Amino acid sequence: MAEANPRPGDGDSLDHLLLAIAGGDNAAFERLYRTTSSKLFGICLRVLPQRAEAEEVLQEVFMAIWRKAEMFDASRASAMTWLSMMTRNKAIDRLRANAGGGQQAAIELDELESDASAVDSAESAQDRERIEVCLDELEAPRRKLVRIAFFEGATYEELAERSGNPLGTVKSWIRRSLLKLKACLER
Amino acid sequence: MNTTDSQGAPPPSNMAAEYVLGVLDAGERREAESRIAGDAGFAREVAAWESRFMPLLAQVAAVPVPDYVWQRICAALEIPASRPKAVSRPGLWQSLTFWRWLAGGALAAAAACAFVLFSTPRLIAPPTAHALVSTLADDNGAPGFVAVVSADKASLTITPLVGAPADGRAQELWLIPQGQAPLSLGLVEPERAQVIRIPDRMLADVGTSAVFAITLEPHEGAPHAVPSGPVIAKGGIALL
Repeated sequence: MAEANPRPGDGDSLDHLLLAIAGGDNAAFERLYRTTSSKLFGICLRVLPQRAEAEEVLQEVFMAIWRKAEMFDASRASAMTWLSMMTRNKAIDRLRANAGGGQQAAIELDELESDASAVDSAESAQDRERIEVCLDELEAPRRKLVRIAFFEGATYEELAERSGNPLGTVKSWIRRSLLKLKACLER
Repeated sequence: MNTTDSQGAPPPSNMAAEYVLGVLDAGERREAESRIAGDAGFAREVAAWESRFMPLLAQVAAVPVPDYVWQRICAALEIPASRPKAVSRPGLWQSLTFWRWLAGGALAAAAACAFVLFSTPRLIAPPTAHALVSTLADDNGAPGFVAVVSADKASLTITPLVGAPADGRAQELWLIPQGQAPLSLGLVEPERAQVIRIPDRMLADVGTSAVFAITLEPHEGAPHAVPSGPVIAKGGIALL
């Protein structure tokens, strides 16, 4: 997979580095850190706006990589997906542990209702990731909620509060959006 | 499956998708995780959703990590901190591949925990203890050059990590002391490491408060009194 080797030419895929780390290879660990930490830190900061917290979570992530690298299964996910999702999960867990530490900004959905079908229509669909194409098939307010949920790790309750909509409505929107996304992604 | 947008009761929960999307609360997340551990079908479903959403995470901008994070990781994991004896093999220190590797991940070469770098047989200890080093990166944080100042500050070794400028202009290295005008250290050749002499009058200015920068300049008349072209890379100076 393309993202499995972000530094082509250096002869060291992330898969190989993880394998070496599972065998206790310090140099491979350092190399993985240098290759991926800034990307993973960016993911931490999307969920945890407080830098100190994001740094702590990044530390947790690399400690988990050192200890659990043997759990990486290349047949199930690419290395970058495994690392990114592990990072995001740890960041979300941290967010849940200290409620109220995440993004608080109000989510404005009303203003989006009118331009529901106009977004990105000029962009060539072929050059874009499938998930983006499918997100664009959602109505603009739903798409916005789904993106915020994903990038900020916000719960249903937080999305309802921040967007000023009833919890049941937000749940319905997101669950229907997930069904639509799945149907679109599997098309 | 209800795929219409009619109002009414929410569609049933799809826990795998909701877990990956990130909307579950702490208790539900624990429940999802125990299902991942105990239910292979559920685990596959989660992995499928993770792959679907991964392209969104791939868009997240990388952010340089402060050096002390790596230091803390090493300390917490008790990765041995003894620095092995220096082996004299200066050729490698100027190897392009080595520097490309060292600067990988857009991190400063001055990162702490440097001992890990030098713990494998094919790598060597830095030429001097307490060397001043700088990773010069572009605006996106991608490293373009690595500079290592000799212990006596009389010279520096600069190694390009990127190719020659496409427009044929020369690359000029500048030392910018804090709050002062840039001082030219001359042109930097593309594609190879080289040693640049630091004029005596600049010795006092080479330190951790100064910055190195590379600009695109005409070949003629170098070293120039002032930069005229765009800055393509810059970096702070740190103690290795």
